[in-house]
Amino acid sequence: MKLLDPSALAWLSLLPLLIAFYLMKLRRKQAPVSALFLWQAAAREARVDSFFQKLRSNFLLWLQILALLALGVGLARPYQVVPGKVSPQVALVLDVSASMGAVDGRFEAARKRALQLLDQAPRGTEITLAAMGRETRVVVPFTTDKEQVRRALRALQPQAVEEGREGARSLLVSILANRTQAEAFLLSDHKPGWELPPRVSYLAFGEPGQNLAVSAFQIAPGDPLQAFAAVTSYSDSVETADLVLSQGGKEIYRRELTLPGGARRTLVVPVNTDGGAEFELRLVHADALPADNVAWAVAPRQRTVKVRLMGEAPLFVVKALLAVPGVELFRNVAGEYDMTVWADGKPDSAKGVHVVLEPPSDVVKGPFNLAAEDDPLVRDLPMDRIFVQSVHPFKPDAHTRVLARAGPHPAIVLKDNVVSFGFDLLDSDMPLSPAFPILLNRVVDQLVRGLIAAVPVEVVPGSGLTIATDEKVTVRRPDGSSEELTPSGGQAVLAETEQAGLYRVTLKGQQYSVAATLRSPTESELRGEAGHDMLSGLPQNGAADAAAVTHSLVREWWWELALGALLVLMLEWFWYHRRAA
Amino acid sequence: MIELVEPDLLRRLERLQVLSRRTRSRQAPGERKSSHRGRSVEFAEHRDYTFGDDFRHIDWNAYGRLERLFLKLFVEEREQTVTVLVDRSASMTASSPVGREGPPKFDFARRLAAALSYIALCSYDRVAVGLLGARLEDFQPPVRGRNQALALFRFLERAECRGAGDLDAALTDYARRYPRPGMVIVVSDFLVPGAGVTGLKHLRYAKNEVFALQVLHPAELAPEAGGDLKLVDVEVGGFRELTLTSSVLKAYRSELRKHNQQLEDWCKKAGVGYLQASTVETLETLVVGALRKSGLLA
Repeated sequence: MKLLDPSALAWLSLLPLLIAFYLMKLRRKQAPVSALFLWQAAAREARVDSFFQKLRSNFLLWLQILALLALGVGLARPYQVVPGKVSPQVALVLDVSASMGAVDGRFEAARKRALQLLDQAPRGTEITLAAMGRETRVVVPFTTDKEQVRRALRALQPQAVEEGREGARSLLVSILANRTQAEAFLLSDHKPGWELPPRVSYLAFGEPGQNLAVSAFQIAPGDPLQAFAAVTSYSDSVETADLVLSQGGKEIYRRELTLPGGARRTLVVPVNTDGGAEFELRLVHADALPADNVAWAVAPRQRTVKVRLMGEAPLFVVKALLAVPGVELFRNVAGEYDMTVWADGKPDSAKGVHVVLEPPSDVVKGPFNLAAEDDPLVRDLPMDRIFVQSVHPFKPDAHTRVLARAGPHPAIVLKDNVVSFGFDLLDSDMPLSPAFPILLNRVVDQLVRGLIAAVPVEVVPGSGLTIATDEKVTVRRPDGSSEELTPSGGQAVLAETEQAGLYRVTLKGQQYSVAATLRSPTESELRGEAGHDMLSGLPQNGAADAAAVTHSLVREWWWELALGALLVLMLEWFWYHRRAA
Repeated sequence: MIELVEPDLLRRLERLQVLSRRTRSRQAPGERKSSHRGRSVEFAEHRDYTFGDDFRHIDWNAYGRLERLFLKLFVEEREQTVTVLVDRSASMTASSPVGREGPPKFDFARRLAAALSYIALCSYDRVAVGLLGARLEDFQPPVRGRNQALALFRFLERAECRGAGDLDAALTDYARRYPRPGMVIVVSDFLVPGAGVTGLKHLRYAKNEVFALQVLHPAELAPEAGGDLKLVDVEVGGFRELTLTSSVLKAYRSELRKHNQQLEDWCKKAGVGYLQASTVETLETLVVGALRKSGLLA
């Protein structure tokens, strides 16, 4: 038997002190007597005037020495190495993604298996519990308190999120790197896409299931609005289901769908906002995963974008702006605008979005071929046939997004909501290319409308809801719970959005709805993967059964010693009072 | 101030008297038979008439028959002096560390002394009361008659228990200062080394009829375990630290028994009356029962 903390044996130095107490005289209660001489013969104590007395065998002393020994040795944490089925450090990673909510009870099976592993772990085993959702979150850090882990396990529930496997991988790698004896169990219904590290056991749960899912649901802008929906079959056979579209809780559309195995069916339904902006699409079908049979969408919060054109702009610029839906154009008029296009001059205000067409005077002579960068504003724009005669070489910093380059030089850049062109449009092929009107359209859609829409209409479950505001916001979740958010840096963020449904945001007295819908082919696919038999709780990493692997476990004895010390002290207390009575 | 004797008990005590085992002499006429011949109704003997005898006591009937002058002698009844000596040393207030509750020894001793004094007064004896400390510290000279009871009671009521005592020295002091023999009742706990035998011997040498009444507290007779204590002698201030375990208490009880036995044995040998009383006993039980049995009262 060895000691984990031999320095704690220093507590045993109290033993001489304890014995010294017994060598010293007691402070006794005074009691007057009429004849002291009669007590002389009965007296067994040493001389009264000495500070110390002869040490005699005393049962209480022996009990106290025993208790002190037990406590001192217990604090030194004696242990022995014993063979066991569970490693002395165990990490349990339980999948709480949406697919674990399948009707075959795989989540309960996984939780039961985790509890079994917990029960198998000998006392003193350090255990951590993590929940693998969109992010992998440590629910209980390493602890020897099994009851704490048990309580946390019982509180976990599947969430309407797609599992983020990379997070689990990072966590497991980190744990195994820091704890050389640790063993990890990944309890999930999907085989990880990465190679399992040596000490990680993947325990698979769930039976193959046939499933239909609402794979897309969106209210597209336009006049009228259009509800766009897609239903995908994750089944091997032909499935029939009713598709029900409701607006504001009232059914407005129903259709029977018949899908062959693996098919995808889309449909577009014209809608308006007379019955409210909230829409729900429900697939009435008994399948393996109910969570993906329902989807929510909110009509886009769109209004007319006010654009000002400053200076003498070429006609193709005016036409390109007028071609953007929902744009109201003003020319050289003072006021507040969502966007200003500067044919001449520079932005006079930081408010809104600005497009500066006039390049700075210092230019590099070309010609140069224009090439779009990988940026959402210019992605896939046909710029490869556009040439420019000369270009101002912008010097981008960390806050500058380069949208396009003329040769090696940044030619179109975005910084602080200002899109600047580094070349003269009239000295390029830009007016002849559809790239320019598309670029303006995207600027309006992504930059201008992004600024206007402080509250998004949609959020991916588990990804966090970000609201652009400087004021406090109240958010009510689909289950009715509310949270008040305090903004920081112009944003208020609700981190916990694992529930699917409609979130109601109250901002400046106005209520906005935000739809959170599970749309994940990974979660909806329950037919099993190749080589993945989905049997309950069996290790799937090709290793032997994790429960059968023998480990060298550290068996600590401090608990027994502490209990022993407590019992000895209780006996000592009892003995003392029995003697005094 | 305590009520020494209840009025009801006083009435019952009137029927008792202190018994003396011997005749008395050289004292005033009283109700005790003395060795002196004198005036009374009880005939004792005849003797020859000599010049100077009171011719009124000549037995003329004897003269008529024998023609000799004989003097008729009668048993002269003389009074007895009963002295009650009460130990007032500090030990009479103390008892034992832990044990049964009971009245303090000194209170009990005063009440007992009052009861005995009253009995003696009712028997037309002369009664004196003394308080014993380091010596005979306070003394109420002999009084006679029931009407003097109140004075004696007041003397006892005023008495205080204090200071270190020396029973032997106090009894010797009494014997030296009041040499006239009488009946001496000593009320004390006798918890001194030697049990006060030396003092009692001096009383006996002075031809006193002595009765030792040992008063003990119930906690002294049967102390109970009390843990770790510092026992302090109330008189001399010495102390001893003891853990009162059952074995220690057993040894103490054995010592006390030996001490009391030593006193009782000496009393028997020396013709001294002895009785041990516990303060939990009632005065009536003790006086009417135990003291009558012991021969002190009749």
